[in-house]
Amino acid sequence: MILTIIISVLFLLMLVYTCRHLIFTYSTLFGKSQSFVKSFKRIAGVFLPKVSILIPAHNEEFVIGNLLDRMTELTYPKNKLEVILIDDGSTDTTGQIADDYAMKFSFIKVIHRPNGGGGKPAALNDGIKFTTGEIILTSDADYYPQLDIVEKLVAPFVDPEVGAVQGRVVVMNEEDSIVSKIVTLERISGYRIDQEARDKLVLVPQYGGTVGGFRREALEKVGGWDRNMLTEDTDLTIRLVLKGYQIRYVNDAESYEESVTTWRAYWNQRYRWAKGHMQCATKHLKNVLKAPFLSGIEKVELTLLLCIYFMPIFVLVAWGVGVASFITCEETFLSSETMEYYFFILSIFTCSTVGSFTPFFEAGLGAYLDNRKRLLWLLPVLNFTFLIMAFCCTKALIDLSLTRNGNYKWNHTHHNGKGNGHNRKNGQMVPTVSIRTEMGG
Amino acid sequence: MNPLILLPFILLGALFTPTVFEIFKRKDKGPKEIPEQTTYEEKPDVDTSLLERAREKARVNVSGEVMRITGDASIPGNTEINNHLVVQGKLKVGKKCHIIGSVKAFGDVEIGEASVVEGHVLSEGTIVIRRDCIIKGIVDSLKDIVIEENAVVEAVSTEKTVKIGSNAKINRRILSGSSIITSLQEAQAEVVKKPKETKISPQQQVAVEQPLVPPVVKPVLGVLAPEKPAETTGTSDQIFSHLKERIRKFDETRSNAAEEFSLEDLSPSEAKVFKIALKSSSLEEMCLRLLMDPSEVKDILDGLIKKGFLDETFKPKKPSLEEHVEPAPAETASTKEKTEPSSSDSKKRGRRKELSAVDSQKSEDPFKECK
Repeated sequence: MILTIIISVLFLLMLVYTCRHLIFTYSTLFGKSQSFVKSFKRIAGVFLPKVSILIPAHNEEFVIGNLLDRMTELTYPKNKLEVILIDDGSTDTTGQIADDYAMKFSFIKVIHRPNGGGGKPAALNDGIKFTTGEIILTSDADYYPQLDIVEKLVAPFVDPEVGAVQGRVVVMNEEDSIVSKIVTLERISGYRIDQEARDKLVLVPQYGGTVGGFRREALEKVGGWDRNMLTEDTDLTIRLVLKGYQIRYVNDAESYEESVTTWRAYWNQRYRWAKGHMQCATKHLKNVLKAPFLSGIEKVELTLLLCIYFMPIFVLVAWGVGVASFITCEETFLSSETMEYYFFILSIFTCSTVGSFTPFFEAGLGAYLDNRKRLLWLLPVLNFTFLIMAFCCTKALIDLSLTRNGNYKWNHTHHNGKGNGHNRKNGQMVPTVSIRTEMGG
Repeated sequence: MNPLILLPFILLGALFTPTVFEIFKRKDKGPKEIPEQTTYEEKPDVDTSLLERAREKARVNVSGEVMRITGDASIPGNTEINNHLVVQGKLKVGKKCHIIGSVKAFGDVEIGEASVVEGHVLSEGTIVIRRDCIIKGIVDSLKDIVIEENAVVEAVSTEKTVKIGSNAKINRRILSGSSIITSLQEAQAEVVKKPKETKISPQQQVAVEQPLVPPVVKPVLGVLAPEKPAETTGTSDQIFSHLKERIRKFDETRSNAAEEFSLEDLSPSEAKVFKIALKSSSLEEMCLRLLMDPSEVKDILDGLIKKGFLDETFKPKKPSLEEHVEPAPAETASTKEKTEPSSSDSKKRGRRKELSAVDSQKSEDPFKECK
């Protein structure tokens, strides 16, 4: 009986997330945009404040040239733009490549932190001190933005209530491996459906750590990035919301990334995200529930957002309980001779029948809307990735309980430039090193 | 063994077979283009205003550089506000106010005369920027934006209409989804309308580069555009009021002429052209008043001439009962005069002649009756 109660409680929790994702999917299909979204689209290119773009980089020699090239091609007026690259203790030629660009273009500046290497948040906090812009955007070194991304990201700041914006991340190297294809599906689900729905439903879109920006005064008010958090982006999102700022999501401000291509890299990335989210949950959940100026729906949504990485653990628990029920032959409301077999099998696939159905539906719809229908065949594989996530999140929770590691080192994936090396001019691939050579190296 | 136990495995097999094909699919490693533009598709509406209001209601308690007001707000004149203003209703800012920040309202916004806003003005409703205001940011609305004379705005953006007063200055860009109306166009529209509706300000400067108005209205425009508007005196006001009265009477006499004719036999477009023809003195004037292509207007006028409502000089000609009864529609006024009149015909002709005499007098001196 006790096992049945536990399963029922877990079932209810999964049902809550099911409803959440179904609402997101429905809203993306049929929802009306928030106020002033059309204004932002009209104003893009008209509102031109001074913008600073921070690019923290640590050993990114294969990709940094591409990004800096792209910065020179941005359509935003260069007299109102400054690009600050923070070379954080790189041991390769990242600093030299950046210096070459800084010599050639006056709006590109480089900050060298030879004693750095202490993680992205520290690099960004140092970078803010050198910015002069009213709006501060961030970009990872391995990203490749659209030419007019700055105008699109900056437009929502016309609204005085907006403190941060988030653009969309698109995977460009999806053909590299099955892992990159799965990550593509997850990115589509996360941005095209999830973030878009949260913006439409007047909830809280999340700043994702890159392809986003802040109002300078908002950033100063919350004190910048927290070095103690593994997911400093989620932490910053919550802190901004708790200060009363709005966060807007701009779906057509796209930046292209090189995603992970191996299962080990996938595991490491998801482990960090899970641990970081759990850190944020323990830090902010109480404040979120007590905040007097968050509406009830916002509080519920933020709670679900912060606890989302606990869900795979609950599913793992549900599996164990299901197996235990079978072994102990416990009387349940499903008991019958045939149903026992189903109970055993379904306990393994509980995630896909209840908990993960709607996320898979979300991913599928996102792929369909993005016209990537061939990726739909991979939806069943997400069952396995969810299995991986279940164990990954469990490990993250155990490690979080035992240790208190902050974000004191770089946790980034090795990049080989394939993601944005496909888009060179005239269709020919040109590696970063040759650019440096041409510049007189 | 129950064969139903195989069902999940069959379903899984069906689900995973395409997956296997996709995994072992031949990879294309050629260069790939990155799209430079994305398209945004509009979706059908599900109203979320309730959620927005709930959020805004909750946000009111936040302290900081944003001043949030629930409901309508009215700011008295000569007020300085050192915050951003967010109003969940209508906002009216008084005269000579100074707002050091942006203004955002969910309802209509009115910025009083000679006020200064150091930021942007955003609204879901109509925005009215009164004269001599300075807005150092973007004025954006989902509805109409009115900028009165001498106001200075950085940029204007709306999905509806922008109305710009004389001497108003927009430093950068005007984005309008509907139309941009300047003070010149407004003045012309007011003159074409009935005089009761017009309010002509003697101080209004109308830059006339090309005479878009038909000749009969030219003298009026010439008076409306005084060379030295700053030196208006009581005498000028008297002249303007006198002219205004004359124009009113003139339009009255012309507009009454349409009531004498029965327009039941005419199509709506023909009736419209006929009424304009009564007021106009030339084909060009008619085209301008109707805003139609001259060839179209000419075709309709030809039709009216054939039906006997107008003569060849586009002057109104009341079609007689004889013309309607007789089966030959091609008879013109000249042929009617040649036929031998009966007693009743002579009376009607006489009446027609009297009317035509009155019309000819009017055409000679349109201002005679007004004197």
